[in-house]
Amino acid sequence: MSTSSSNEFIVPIQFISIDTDGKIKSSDQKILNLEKGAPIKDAHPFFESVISMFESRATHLKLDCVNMLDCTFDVEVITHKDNSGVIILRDRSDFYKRIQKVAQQRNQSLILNELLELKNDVLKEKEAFKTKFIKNFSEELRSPLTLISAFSSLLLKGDLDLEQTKLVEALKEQSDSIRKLLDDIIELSKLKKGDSKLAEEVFSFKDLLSSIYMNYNAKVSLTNNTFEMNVSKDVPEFLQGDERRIAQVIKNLIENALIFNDGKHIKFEVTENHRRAGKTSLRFQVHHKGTVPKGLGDKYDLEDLEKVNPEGLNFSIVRELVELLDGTLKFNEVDTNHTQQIVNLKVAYPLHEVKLPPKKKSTVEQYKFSEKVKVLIADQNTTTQLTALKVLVSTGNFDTEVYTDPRELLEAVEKREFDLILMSSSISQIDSIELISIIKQFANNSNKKIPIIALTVHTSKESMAAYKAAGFKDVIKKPYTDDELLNTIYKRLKIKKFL
Amino acid sequence: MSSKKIVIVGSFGVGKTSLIRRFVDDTFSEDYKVTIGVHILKKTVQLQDHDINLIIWDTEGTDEIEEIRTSYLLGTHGFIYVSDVTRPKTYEKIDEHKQYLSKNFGNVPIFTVGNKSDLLPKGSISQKKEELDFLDILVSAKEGNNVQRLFEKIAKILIS
Ligand SMILES: Nc1nc2c(ncn2[C@@H]2O[C@H](COP(=O)(O)OP(=O)(O)O)[C@@H](O)[C@H]2O)c(=O)[nH]1
Ligand SMILES: [Mg+2]
Repeated sequence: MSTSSSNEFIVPIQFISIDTDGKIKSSDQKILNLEKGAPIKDAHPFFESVISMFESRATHLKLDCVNMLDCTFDVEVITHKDNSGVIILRDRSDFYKRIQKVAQQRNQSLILNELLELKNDVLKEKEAFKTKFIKNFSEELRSPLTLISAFSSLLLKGDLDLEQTKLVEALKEQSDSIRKLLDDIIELSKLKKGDSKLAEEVFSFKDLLSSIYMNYNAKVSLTNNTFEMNVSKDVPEFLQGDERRIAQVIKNLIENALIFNDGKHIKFEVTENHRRAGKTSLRFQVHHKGTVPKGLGDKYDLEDLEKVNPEGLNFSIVRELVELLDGTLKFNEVDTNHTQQIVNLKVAYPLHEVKLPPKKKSTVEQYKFSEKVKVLIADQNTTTQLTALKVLVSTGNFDTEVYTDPRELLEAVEKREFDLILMSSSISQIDSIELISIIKQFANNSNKKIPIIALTVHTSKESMAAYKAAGFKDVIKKPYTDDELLNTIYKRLKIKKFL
Repeated sequence: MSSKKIVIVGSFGVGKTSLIRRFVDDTFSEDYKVTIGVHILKKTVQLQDHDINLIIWDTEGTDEIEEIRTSYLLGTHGFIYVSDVTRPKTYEKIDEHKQYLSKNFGNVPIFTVGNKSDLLPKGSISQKKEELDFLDILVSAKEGNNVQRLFEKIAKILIS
């Protein structure tokens, strides 16, 4: 039936005229063989549909790309008022075959993309869940770590023989490194969640670098290595940006070098690439002997969390941080067994001279009180209870009482006198923010005035504000060291009363 | 015997062609051959006291309903709007598209269909099924579920 033309420019045409009864009056039979006098609707359902549109009106209708009887036609239907008409068929099978091929490819790839997108959404959801899980889990781990951290530093202050000192030092070192690991994981999960905001504060970059130097010089020399830091003269003394994040990037680079160190020397350099529009482009470079396993520096998705070993965590954090700070990161292998980590960051610097307030010292004053401070500890978690208890008792300045039952606690604040209350974030399922308002109602007049301090792992800006608003004088972040605990307490007590 | 024209619309790949094949020939193919233009098929539906010819126009799938050649849609007695239950994109604009059809091609019945129900998680109280309850009927061209019922329902409505 089809006359496949070798010349695509010649399109076969067939004219069919229809009488007023819908029968075939004449047809030139160029393409379809149609029987004269037969109802056109019997030739194909298409014609049946078309003939029902012959509604005693004069119309001219074009229907492109109609597939029937093994061909693809462009069709024209011309109807007259007397219900007769003409149907014109143009066989454009070859043309539409090519169109079909293109459409086939296009649609298949569109559908594939759609499905990939859907899958991606599911993955993202899963990732968010994992991130949240990891964050909660890590925060749970912080409490027992409080105990280890604080006890170790407490023990080191007492009379220990050399053997014991070494053991405790090891204990402290290990717990500190777990603490760091936890903080890293929490940081990473925050970065992954993408809800981190950048600080925009002016800070002394010089001070930051020198504290980093002191820290790592000590740490590196413990392992019989040397740590060298070079800061080129043109690097600005003050910067304006996220000090903590920038410090984190630098520290992580150095930690990376320490982990995969094969030599005796670690070199850290800071240089300025250029300054433009109030921003300095800084280049941080850490150089060490030893190679970093392939792939560690790669970006990984939480999806592959199982594959990340603790050593890789540092790398992931650096990468996420650098991304957050809109910088670039490169790991180069040089001279076959040296590694060069390079980070470029663009940071704003203050255009005018800056004066920053002097830094506070964080060592604890060695007070000897003449009168003991009566402390009420409200905490269910035996770990943190014990920590606080021991730290306080060790100074000889405190009398402590622990309460785990809210009813007994309320009775105590009603009937007895205290100088200070330390309260963890929840007791017997009662949230400390709720509890503090009840305490304030029950407390006798003297207890109404004493400072109440929260001990908590929830230290986001929002939580801190909520604690303060509820009436807490201060918040101590878990895990805390004994210094942190004591400093906060001394700060919030009216010390003169006890001296 | 009366004949009624039904046009099948909906995004590409949702299974319009497969649905008609299942209905007309009771066959199914996993292969996807993109329809271009229009194919016209016919099948008689036998109802209790009536037989009716459905002349079914299987159109090429488009994202935007306006892209369908309007000449295909003239003189239609009913639409079947097919979507793919596994591809939200294919049913997101269903209301908008229904409005467009009613406004431009007469106030004829529009059946909304979710195809590929075989790919939904099994179980009677599946959450997904609840999410899809804005559709008139869930069908599977692959397994044949509800296909016959769909066309019978339409036939009944068209003769009433
Ligand atoms: N699993 C499943 N696949 C289907 C179903 N209906 C169609 N398909 C598949 O979906 C693809 C597209 O079908 P097709 O009928 O060409 O879609 P159209 O573009 O809307 O005409 C083909 O690969 C079919 O095999 C169904 O009910 N279940
Ligand atoms: Mg199709």
